[in-house]
Amino acid sequence: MHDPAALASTAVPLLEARNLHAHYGASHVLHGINFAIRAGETVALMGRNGMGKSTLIRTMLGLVRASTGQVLVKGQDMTHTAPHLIARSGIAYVPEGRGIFPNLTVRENLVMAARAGTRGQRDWTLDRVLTSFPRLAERLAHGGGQLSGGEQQMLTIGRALMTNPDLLILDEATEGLAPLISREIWRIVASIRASGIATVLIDKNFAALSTIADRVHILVKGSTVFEADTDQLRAQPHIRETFLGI
Amino acid sequence: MELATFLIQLLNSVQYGLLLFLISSGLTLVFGIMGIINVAHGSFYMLGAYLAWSLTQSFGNFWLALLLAVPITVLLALTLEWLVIRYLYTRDLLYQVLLTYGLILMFEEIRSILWGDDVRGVSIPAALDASIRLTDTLSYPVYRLAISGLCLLVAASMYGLIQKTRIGMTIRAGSVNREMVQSLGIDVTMLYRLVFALGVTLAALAGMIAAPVSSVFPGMGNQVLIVCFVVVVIGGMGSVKGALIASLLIGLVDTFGKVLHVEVAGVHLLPELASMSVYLLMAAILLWRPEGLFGKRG
Ligand SMILES: Nc1ncnc2c1ncn2[C@@H]1O[C@H](COP(=O)(O)OP(=O)(O)O)[C@@H](O)[C@H]1O
Ligand SMILES: [Mg+2]
Repeated sequence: MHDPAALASTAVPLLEARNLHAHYGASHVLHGINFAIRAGETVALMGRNGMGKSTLIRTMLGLVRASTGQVLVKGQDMTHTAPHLIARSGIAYVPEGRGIFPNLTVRENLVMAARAGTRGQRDWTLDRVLTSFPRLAERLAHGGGQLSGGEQQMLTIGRALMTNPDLLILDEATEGLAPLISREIWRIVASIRASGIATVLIDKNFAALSTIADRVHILVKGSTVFEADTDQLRAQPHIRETFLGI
Repeated sequence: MELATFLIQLLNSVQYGLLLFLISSGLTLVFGIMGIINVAHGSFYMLGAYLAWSLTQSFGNFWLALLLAVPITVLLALTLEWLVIRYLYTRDLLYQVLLTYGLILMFEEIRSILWGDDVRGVSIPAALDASIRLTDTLSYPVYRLAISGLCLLVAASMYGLIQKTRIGMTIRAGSVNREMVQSLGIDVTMLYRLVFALGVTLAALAGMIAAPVSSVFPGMGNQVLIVCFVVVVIGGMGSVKGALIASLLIGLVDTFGKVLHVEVAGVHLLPELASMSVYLLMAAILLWRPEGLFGKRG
């Protein structure tokens, strides 16, 4: 069994933000965030709408410019590095709103992303992805745009896995999906976690998150207000009420 | 019209259409994938023609000239993308048109300095300087058939590249969601540079192989640019398939518009009408489908 807590305390973080600030034009969205995730960990990034969760992710991935502060990938400063190089350091991203390529077939969506991981690992192949997502196997020749919302989400996750990442970031992966489909996504996320890939999860479903996440990181208006093991959050319902409204 | 004459005109129109496709496919590709309107696209056609002329002069061999001219064009295109074009990706249309119009002026000036303002000619390479006899009096030049053949080969390779290879998938993906492609670890900057180089090199290649059958002259790029925009608009902005169909259509309409003597109620319509036929076709198609034959509905 892997013990994320033991691993986490020693290892260099896979991805780390240090005193990170970000702006959209004149509006200051991230106010000095410190965030870290280590190999094998599952971290839930929580907060109400518009608190800066997606922006934090996108800034760490190089998609939004960091105003000040640092982004480190495996201890290396990659603050103003091109997004594709950050991705190539072993980080896969499933964005809010999915981001499948509607003009490519399901197969093409998967194949175009295929690559060995940072340690040369090729654990996730087309076959393995299709075994994990049987619905996609049935629709290989369909255009990405023809899929249902849930299938599109599976395609984005499958595509992210094709890059054989060390860290997978899921931004609102179950947003707008029917409960049955959401459950299937959570089951998949659990199996990805069990395979040893670290995950950052952003989701509205606290119950699902709290069963899977090792740690919780809560943002309010672009600042960290709470950061602890998931058990501690469960034990403090007032924090949930104050910061998450649940 | 006699059958042999008709056949010759048909072959001519296909050859012209395919050559147009070679030029306009690059224009539509650069627009569809990179979102750049490159009005200097025609200048590369001119550049190709002048390179073919000048290198054939220097080395006495058309094939050797082609072999040198293609890599020269690729290098120039890569440099140009890096120097100026890449700054246009985040700018709006006005900047793109202004800047690439500036490039036209520069290209014409450089052409004038390097090669002068005279009309030049390139002779047909000896190996292909033959004709196929159709009747006692009519024959068809082999070189024109070779042009059509090469264009078809390029069209097939482009189809293969875009539809069947991983690079092609990435190019298509990049045309809808650039950021997502980057997030998958793909260097979009490099991809765009390659697409730009591919697009303008095709235009230059068209200029090179057309040089022996049409004269090489200042401003030849702008003439062809206008027709290419008609092709791109008819075919649908960004659609390579649309460009192919539209090019062939224009080839037909232009060629037959010139040879058919349109007579309505005993009155010969002015020859000017013939030269307008291409634009009439465009107007008719746009009335029917404003987004072009294969364009995305806005
Ligand atoms: N592209 C953008 N341009 C301007 N403001 C933005 C943009 N994206 C997000 N914002 C603003 O930044 C803040 C944080 O947004 P976001 O990171 O998407 O929050 P969350 O993911 O937690 O819902 C919000 O106030 C939002 O309105
Ligand atoms: Mg968000």
